[in-house]
Order: sequence, then structure tokens, then C-alpha cells
Amino acid sequence: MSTDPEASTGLLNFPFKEARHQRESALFGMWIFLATEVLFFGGMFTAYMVYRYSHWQAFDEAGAHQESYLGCLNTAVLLTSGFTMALAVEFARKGQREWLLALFAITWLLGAAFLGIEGYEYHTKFTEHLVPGSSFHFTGSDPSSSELFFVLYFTMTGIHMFHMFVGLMLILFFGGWSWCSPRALLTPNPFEVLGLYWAFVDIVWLFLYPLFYLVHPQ
Amino acid sequence: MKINLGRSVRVLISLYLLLVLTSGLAFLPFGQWDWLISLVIAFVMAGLILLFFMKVKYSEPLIWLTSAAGFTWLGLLLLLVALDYVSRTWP
Repeated sequence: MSTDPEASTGLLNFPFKEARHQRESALFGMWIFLATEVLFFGGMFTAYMVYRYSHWQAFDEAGAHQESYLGCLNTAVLLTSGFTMALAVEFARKGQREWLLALFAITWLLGAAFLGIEGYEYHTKFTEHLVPGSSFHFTGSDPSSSELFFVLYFTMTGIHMFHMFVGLMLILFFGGWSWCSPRALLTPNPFEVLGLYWAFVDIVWLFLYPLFYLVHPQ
Repeated sequence: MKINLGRSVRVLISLYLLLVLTSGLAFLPFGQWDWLISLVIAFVMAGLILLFFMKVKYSEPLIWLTSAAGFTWLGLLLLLVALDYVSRTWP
């Protein structure tokens, strides 16, 4: 007869017989997913490296048009949200629902603020005709190579923003679940997996920040 | 397990300080080495998040291996592509 608390509450899924095994499998599965995400973003980082190397001057000129203070602010916002999410996961493990919900709310607001700041930046890029395409206008030594910088900027930050958006939806879902059901916190595994996802999205941004905002700040 | 708020706060403050450092150094004239300095700092910040916020430091060896695997393969990809570009003489 199992004395596992999760077994007694019926939260052990087939084929697990121990909560520890179920937890390790959940985290291992998430880490495998994150490894594929590293390689997914890795292809774009490789493209950046190649074009940065081949068009050094044009990238410097394009980078000078970036608002580095907004990138810095966004990094600070995201780091803070990583902190509140890590704490939220700790409280989920302790089963403290009020703290979990409060920290989820703060994390969600910080994530939304990040998207708002990024949206504002996209808006200024549109008004300054720095969006790649027919209306792209850039005065520099090699405008078409500088355009590549903005192609990479919009692609990489855009895909990162999509990940942020998914993260915000997941926080809403898991927050709503733990708000409505007292059973939600019987096992912290889903919350730990969400915490890993959020921290990973933070890490991706930590590399996007120097590559796009600190290229040649003015 | 007790919630270690102090440790998380220390990690967050270190991350803020590193952010100020990397943002400030970018304005100093290091020439072509700017990118290297900012990337090294980014790796340190990512390491802090991996070890403490993602709790790799307190995880089983299997998680250590899995978390390192993705970054190792990415490192190989970047290294080999970079080697090709810096060693080839383009026409």
C-alpha cells in the first residue's frame, strides 16, 4: 500500500507509482522541450552571427537607431518577473494559494508591461520607416544590409514576444485553475513546469538585449 | 523545504547590477570587443537564472545533463559556423 500523499489523493497518473518519479519525469520532459527551444532560437542566433560578421558596419549603423534605454527597461522588467515567478513556484510547492495568486498577478502584469513597451518600440519603428519591406527607408553606407538587422530584430523579438504571450496565457490558465479548484495545488508539478518555461523565455531575452540594443548605442 | 527569500533577492540584485554593468560598458569605447563583453555578462546572467530561478543547482544529475545538452549543441553549431566564416577567404 502506497503512503505517498499524491497517491492517496489520486493525483498519480499512470504509470507512476511515486510522486517523486512523477515530478522528475515532468521536469525532465520540460527540460527536453527547452533543449529543443534552445536549438529553435539557436538557428536564428546563428543567422545573426553570420550576418553580423559579414555586415559589421551596416549593423553598427542600424544598431545606433535602437532605443537602448527601452531595451534596458524591458530587461529589468523581465528579470523582476523571473524573480516573482520563481517565488510563485516556491509558494505553489508549499501549497500557499494566496501568495501564489498574488505573485502570479505581479508576474502577469510585468509580462504585459514588457509586451506594451515592446509594442511601443514596434510603433516607433513603423513611424521611422525602419520596418523591412517596401516602405523601409534608411540612410547609411549599406541600407540593404542594415535592413537585414531589422529583419532579424523583428523576427527574433517577434518570436520571443509570441513566447511571452503564450506564457501570459498559461499564467491566466494556471492562476484561474488554482483560484477555482483547491485541488490544483495538491501537486506542484504543472507550476514548476510553467516556472521553467517563464525563466527560459527570460534567458532568451538576456541574449537578445545585447545583440539588438547594445550594438552601437548612442 | 523552507522558502529562501533572501537568496532569491540576492540573485535578483546581482542580475540588476549585471544589467547596469552591461548597459554602461556598451557606451565605453572597447571597439570590436563590445559584443564579447556584453555576451559574457549575458552568459553570467543566464547562468544565475538557470542555477537559482530554474533550480538546476538543486536538481538531480539528469537535469544537469539535459539542461547542458541543448546549450552544448548550440555551442557546437555556433562554433563550427564561426570557424567556417573566419577561416575562409571569400572571393
